[in-house]
Amino acid sequence: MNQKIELLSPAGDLSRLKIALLYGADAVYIGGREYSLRANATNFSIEEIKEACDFAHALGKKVYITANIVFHNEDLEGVYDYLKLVYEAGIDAFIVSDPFIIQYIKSNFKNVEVHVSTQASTTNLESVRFWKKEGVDRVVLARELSISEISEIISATGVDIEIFIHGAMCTFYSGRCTLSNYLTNRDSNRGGCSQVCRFAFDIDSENEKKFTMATKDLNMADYISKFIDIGVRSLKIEGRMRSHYYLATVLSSYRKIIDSYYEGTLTTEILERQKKLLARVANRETSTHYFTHEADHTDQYYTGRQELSNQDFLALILSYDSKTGLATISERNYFEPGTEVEIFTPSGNTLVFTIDKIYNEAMEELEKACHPEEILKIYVPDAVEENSMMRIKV
Amino acid sequence: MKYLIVPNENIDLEIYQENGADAFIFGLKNYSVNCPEISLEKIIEFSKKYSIFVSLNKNIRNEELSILEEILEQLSNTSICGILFYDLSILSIVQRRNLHLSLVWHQTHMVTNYQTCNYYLNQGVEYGITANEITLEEILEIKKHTKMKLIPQILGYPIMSHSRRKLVENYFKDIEEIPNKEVYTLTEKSDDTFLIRENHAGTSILFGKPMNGTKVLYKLLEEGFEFAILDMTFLNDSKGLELLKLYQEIRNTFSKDTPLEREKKINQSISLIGDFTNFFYKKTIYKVKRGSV
Repeated sequence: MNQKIELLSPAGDLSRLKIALLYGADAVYIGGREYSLRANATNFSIEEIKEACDFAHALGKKVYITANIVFHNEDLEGVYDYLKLVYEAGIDAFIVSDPFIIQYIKSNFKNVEVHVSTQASTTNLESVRFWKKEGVDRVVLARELSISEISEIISATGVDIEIFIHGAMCTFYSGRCTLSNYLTNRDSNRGGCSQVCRFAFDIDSENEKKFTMATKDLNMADYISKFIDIGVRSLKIEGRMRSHYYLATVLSSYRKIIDSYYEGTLTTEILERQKKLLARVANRETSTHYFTHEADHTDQYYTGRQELSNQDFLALILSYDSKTGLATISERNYFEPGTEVEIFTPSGNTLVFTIDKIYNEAMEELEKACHPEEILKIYVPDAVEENSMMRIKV
Repeated sequence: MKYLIVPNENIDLEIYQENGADAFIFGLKNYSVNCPEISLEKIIEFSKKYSIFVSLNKNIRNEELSILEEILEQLSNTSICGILFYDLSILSIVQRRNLHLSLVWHQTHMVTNYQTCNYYLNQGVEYGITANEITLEEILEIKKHTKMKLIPQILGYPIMSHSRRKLVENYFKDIEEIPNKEVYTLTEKSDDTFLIRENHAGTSILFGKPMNGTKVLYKLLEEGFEFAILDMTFLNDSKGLELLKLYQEIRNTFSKDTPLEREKKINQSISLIGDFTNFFYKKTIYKVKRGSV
């Protein structure tokens, strides 16, 4: 079997990056304060990029930075200085879509990879060959390809291929949509996408139902073993603006599936359990889209936003005192004595138990936990790591 | 300046030519989006009589590559003026096979800066169709820094987006009806409307007002631009021809036109298609200030 497949996570800021790496990501992709397609995310300063790289490298993991806007003239000023600063901060790869950047990076920096962003909408093996000729190390394929097309590309080109496996989808080809520019004056190809594809429109037909074009999210949990078998290099999770809990849950689920497959221990039971967890944390319906079929009306939303409120995440574990058996936690959602919970840890363990008593910081007993971010203490039947998370028993 | 016309299928090319058209852009059946599609035979036939650019601007799939390569080879033996490409497979094939074809970089919304123009110029791409989402000032700035021949669109309904999904068909499937129009109009909260249509390659959405580039045309002519696109799609036949005549007149007289004459001609165009100037004079923002959403 080839090099172990990479699990690649988004990280909108430093704390999310740490959670992502602790919960099983092999690498993270982040945006700097410039030239990234999520202009509204917090994003990373140069100092934070350096800290992120130091943290990741200490764990033997990697950090990729997006510089994948479609550049306008005004964006060119200072871009090379910025790329140099980012490079010197220690990043492992640049994710780009505008090809002039590729040439600059390849000519000026050593030991750093260039990945072509999905923004370039690479849909066939001849285009991958073009990127290979240009010195690109990895291509993030368009989300409109089937598994067999991906397999053909890998076999024909030998280029490292990265694919999105989980999260929100664009309705239109990446890079081929400027709805946001026209409706909200925000440049979708420079990080300002206002998700107009999720708006509802009137249509000039006889029926009165609103026209919508939003797609269901992507969830490829059932196909991870297939991706490993055909030689995909990296599996990418979408969502640089997602929460810590979302990242921890999604990453630990995919980590479990990947590791179990490599170890030869992946059972239907394990897979179903992880799918259940993924389904609960993703608050939208999911599909496998083009990976398995020509996307059709079943892959879209027509009855408004089908998002469910999720209060599964109960608390973040801040510390554990092995002498007293007390864990100090930061509350997130309501729970009370008698609530059946499970703590899942960065190292992949799960501890199931029932909440006995809840205390505040002064060890005064409380009837319930109902103030998000409040620091509390609870008894936990076994040792748990810092940054573990407590949720409703699933 | 040469006018490249995306023709309205109802009108004979001769008539366009008589009224100022210098070249035509056609799509090739099954390989194009947002362009009238004709067969390879018809393209070859037209190319003997007219200046023809061929738009192969859909996203290409693996299974289409071998036929695409044959098509490009056949086209390289004709007198067509150039190939408009979106997908890089076309550039790759032309380079790999060393085909004698002029290429037009037409990555709809991505032709936005001079560095990337120069990159593609160095790859052997001769022309670039500037994105409709950049300002006139940006177009002029690009021209200053590149030798690529730039082709701005100065008339027609701007293309906003393209999806592989059959969004209209899917919507009607969901309500258990059958679509009965070629083009539907969408409306959101604002007064703006959008045109949505499907073809074999998926769904495209266009802005509901045609772009009026007469004012811009004067500047482009002064700055020595050699080409511009006039897209007649969805324009009423007679209105389209009237506009072409007007653009032709402006091209012929721009250096002599007084400010008053210019204003008169611009107003004449406004009476035909309105005063929507798209992003020529309006910059798009991309950094959202905190607290503003």
